Amino acid sequence: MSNESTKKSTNSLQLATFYLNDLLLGIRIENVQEINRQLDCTIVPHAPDYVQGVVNLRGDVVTVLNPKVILELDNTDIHKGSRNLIINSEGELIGLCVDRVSDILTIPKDQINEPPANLKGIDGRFFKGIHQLESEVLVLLNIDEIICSTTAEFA
Amino acid sequence: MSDEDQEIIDEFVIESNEHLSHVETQLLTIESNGDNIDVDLVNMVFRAIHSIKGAAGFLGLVKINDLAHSLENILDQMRNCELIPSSQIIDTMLKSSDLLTTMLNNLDDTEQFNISDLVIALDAIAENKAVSTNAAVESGQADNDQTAEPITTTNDQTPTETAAEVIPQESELAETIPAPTNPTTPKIQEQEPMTAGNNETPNSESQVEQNIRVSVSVLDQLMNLAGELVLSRNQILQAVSNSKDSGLDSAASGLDQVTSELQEAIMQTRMQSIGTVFTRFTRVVRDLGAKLNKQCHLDIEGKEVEVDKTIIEAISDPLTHLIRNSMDHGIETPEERVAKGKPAEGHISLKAYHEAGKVQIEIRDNGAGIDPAKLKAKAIIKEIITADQAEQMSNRDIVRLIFHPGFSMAEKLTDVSGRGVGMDVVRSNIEKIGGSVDVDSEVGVGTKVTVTLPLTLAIIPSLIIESSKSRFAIPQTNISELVRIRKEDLGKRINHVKGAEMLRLRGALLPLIRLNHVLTHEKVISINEQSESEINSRDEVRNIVVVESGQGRYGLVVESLHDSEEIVVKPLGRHLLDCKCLSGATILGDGHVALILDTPGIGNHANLELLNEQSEYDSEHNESTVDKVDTHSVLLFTNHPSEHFALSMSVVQRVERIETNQIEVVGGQELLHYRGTSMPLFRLENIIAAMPLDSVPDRIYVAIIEINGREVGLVAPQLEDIQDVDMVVDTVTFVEAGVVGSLVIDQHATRLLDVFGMIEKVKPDWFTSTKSEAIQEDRDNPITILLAEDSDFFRRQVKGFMEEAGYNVIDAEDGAIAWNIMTSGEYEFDLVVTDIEMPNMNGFELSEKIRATAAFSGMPIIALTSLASDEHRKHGEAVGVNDYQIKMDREKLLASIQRFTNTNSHSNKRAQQNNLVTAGV
Repeated sequence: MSNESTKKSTNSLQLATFYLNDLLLGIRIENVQEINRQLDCTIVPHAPDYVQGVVNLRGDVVTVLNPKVILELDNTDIHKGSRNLIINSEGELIGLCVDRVSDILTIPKDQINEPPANLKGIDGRFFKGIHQLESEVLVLLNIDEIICSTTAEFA
Repeated sequence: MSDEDQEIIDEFVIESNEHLSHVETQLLTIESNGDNIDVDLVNMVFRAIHSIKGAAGFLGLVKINDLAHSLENILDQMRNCELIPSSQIIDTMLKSSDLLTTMLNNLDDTEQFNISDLVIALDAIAENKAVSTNAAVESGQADNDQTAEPITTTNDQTPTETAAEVIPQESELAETIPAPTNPTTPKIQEQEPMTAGNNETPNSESQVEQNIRVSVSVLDQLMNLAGELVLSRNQILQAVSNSKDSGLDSAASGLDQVTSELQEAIMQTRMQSIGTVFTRFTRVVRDLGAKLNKQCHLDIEGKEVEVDKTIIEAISDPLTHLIRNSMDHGIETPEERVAKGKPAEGHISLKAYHEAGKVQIEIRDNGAGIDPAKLKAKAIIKEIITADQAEQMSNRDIVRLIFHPGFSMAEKLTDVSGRGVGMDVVRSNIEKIGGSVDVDSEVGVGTKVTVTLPLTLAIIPSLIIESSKSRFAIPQTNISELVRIRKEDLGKRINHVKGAEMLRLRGALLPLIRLNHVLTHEKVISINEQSESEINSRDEVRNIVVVESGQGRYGLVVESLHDSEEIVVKPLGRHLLDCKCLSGATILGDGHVALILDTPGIGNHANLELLNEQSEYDSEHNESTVDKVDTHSVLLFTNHPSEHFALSMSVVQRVERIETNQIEVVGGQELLHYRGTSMPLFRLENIIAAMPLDSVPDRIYVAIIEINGREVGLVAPQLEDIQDVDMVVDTVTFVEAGVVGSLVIDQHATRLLDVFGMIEKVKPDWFTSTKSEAIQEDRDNPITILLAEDSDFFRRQVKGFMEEAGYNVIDAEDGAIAWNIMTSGEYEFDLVVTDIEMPNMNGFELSEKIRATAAFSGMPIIALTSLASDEHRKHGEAVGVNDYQIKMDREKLLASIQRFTNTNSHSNKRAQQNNLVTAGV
């Protein structure tokens, strides 16, 4: 969060992009700690349904979330292309299980438009903006909302 | 100076330095905030200075105490917004805090420091608080001049260079300050930390090699990495064992060793000796003694025992509470003690020692002890236990009730304890860190509280189990034992009580919780659904982990058991904090994450599922007390030292110690002169096959028993104990008139005496009245009694003597069976005699059913119990029980039966009953 406010000097954003089903999403590269294939989760009984499980990330136990459940998208099984996007959120590492990792894109800020209130049935509060690529739309994900709203809801 | 004191002082210095290091920056922030006072921040500084003041006062460090006191006064005004912090004020305060630091690091000679000038300056600030800001600035300047000068002189007297360095800067500042403008403020902020830095340099040199303060988070990280290293090592060892490269082999074993040592050393960094907590209690006891007018000495043993820092921190409060409790409720006043024949000075011993990989802490006092009778009464009033339960409980279990939530032991709240922090908080705090607490007390002798703690929280030995195809860790501290049931024993060991599974374990019934159900069934499921699936999968019950939790023991059914491992506990992320059945996670040898089970959490979860059917839960509890019905309180004694006897406590009125010269023989009968009367005295060897006493002691014990209204004494020369024993009675080997059987108690074959049988043997005429009448009453149409009693032993006994008295007795193993027999119409009963605690349907329930049925509404009911209590009676009366009798008191029971069968002329009643039946009721 603090990154966003301090990085006013640059006029463009670097986004790590990935797919959830056929929806292209991006989050700021600063938020991403690493991307790995570690999705052999230990299932946590009694955990909320959007928690995929926990994994061992070099000695830390990391909670892996399923963003599809949070965004109420069609849920599909983990496949060969699935990746674990490790996000550093308020000092805690949290994994996001995504379908396919795409490019890292640099996008000028002025080409990011206000998000619609509702996109393909997903609540607009999860988006920060959208950007029109040549062939498709890139949606800028509000990662704090994804991670924090779930905890708030749960607490 | 003793080591103990040195330890306290060292701790004080470290702690105070920590406080002061923050105070500096905090004061600077306060300054920059100006008149916009952040009360919380000021409070923080206030508390820091306050605690330094307190500790210094305790250690007799007058100068530190005085200086801190003056500083505190100013802070107090600030936090009440009575004083606006100006730069001068903050200056003086910073100087004071610097001087405090200097003195702290030269504790051996605080006398060399001159504090009076600073104290004067501080006090002046405090007194001038009412002056307006401008005036304050002036007076502040004056203060500053005052302070600056004398300290320079201080500097002359002392070798400390720190003050000298501070002063020139101070003087400079003093000049710029009268017109406090914005630019000056940042200047101060820049300079002050510098002076502070300079200030500390010379002091830190003197003690640099002693201690390094390392943040716990760094240690945690080290622990984490060490854990990872252990993992990698394991993988390497595995890989190497598969290869044939000998060079790699030796390198790997080297790595192995170093890793283990490294892990150990890192663990060691977190260990602290428990003495850091213990030593403070000497003072606690001394101060409380003065306050409560009690004399007490505290003995400390095992200060060197080391435990993890987290544990040290966590037990400090519970231990303080326990010690306070001992002082407040345990130790009596000197007068009381002397009156009781104890030394005037009480004694509390605090002892720590290692045992079986855990740390035990014992707090033992020689005070008044806890009176179980009082506690019992209170527990019943507070509805913590029912009168029924109370009756079944041993004194030790009753004393343990002090840990029950909602139980304050203090009869009146005192200043010392009873501040709402009950023993249940002590228990839950100790359990939170994987420990346990137990209490044992004897009235008049004292109380012992034992706290068992794990050595460390970071690495805990755990059992890895598997359920629902996942592995889980259960901390060994929660496990009391593992039970594996052979297939052919399943039916015997697993009982079903209205859908709840129970494990039969050495005479106790433990509720069973299936882990896979707990883990998969998120929502509350209906009891029937659950029980059905349980019955279906009944064959799977094999491995049971018996765990201890706050609510008691239960059996956790798991699929399989793996190895025991030392696991490194990792916290779960914030999304998983609501998983109450889990207490964390760990990484197993193969790199997979295993979750750590929280056994109390699982217990709660399982109970939640039963909450819909409270009665189910109740019956489960009743069920677990059922086995206690089989236990019976007996008086154990020897006649000849090699022969052991037991006498049911329910027939013993009391036990007296008499002098043998009080015994007189009249006409071949021994009589005891006692309280102005004489009572016949009987000796075992004269009645049953028993060896006589091998010597004639001056004093012997006599158990006093009432038989048909007259008191007799049975000589019980050497008392051993009063115990609750399981009534597993061998009714074959030793049986004779007066001996109902034998049982093994403390590895001695012990004969259980039937005192009525014995007396009847020698004085048959005392018993004729009850017998003959009953037989005469109805020779051709004997009175029929329904007896409901679940204990085989008691059922046989009671049935036996009722039949002997001429009654026709039909027996039933529990209330439900009895009810079936009654309603089957096969017999016509004149009277029901029922036990109270029975499985399936207890005596109260049976009585209720009987009373609710018109056909039986007039049926007399006699309830049997091991020990009758008033509460019992009331409950019994409410459900329609006519009388209460004690199981082993056969004479009274027979008299009662006779009374009811006579008054309710059974022929009348039977006619009435028939009428009702024909009327179709």
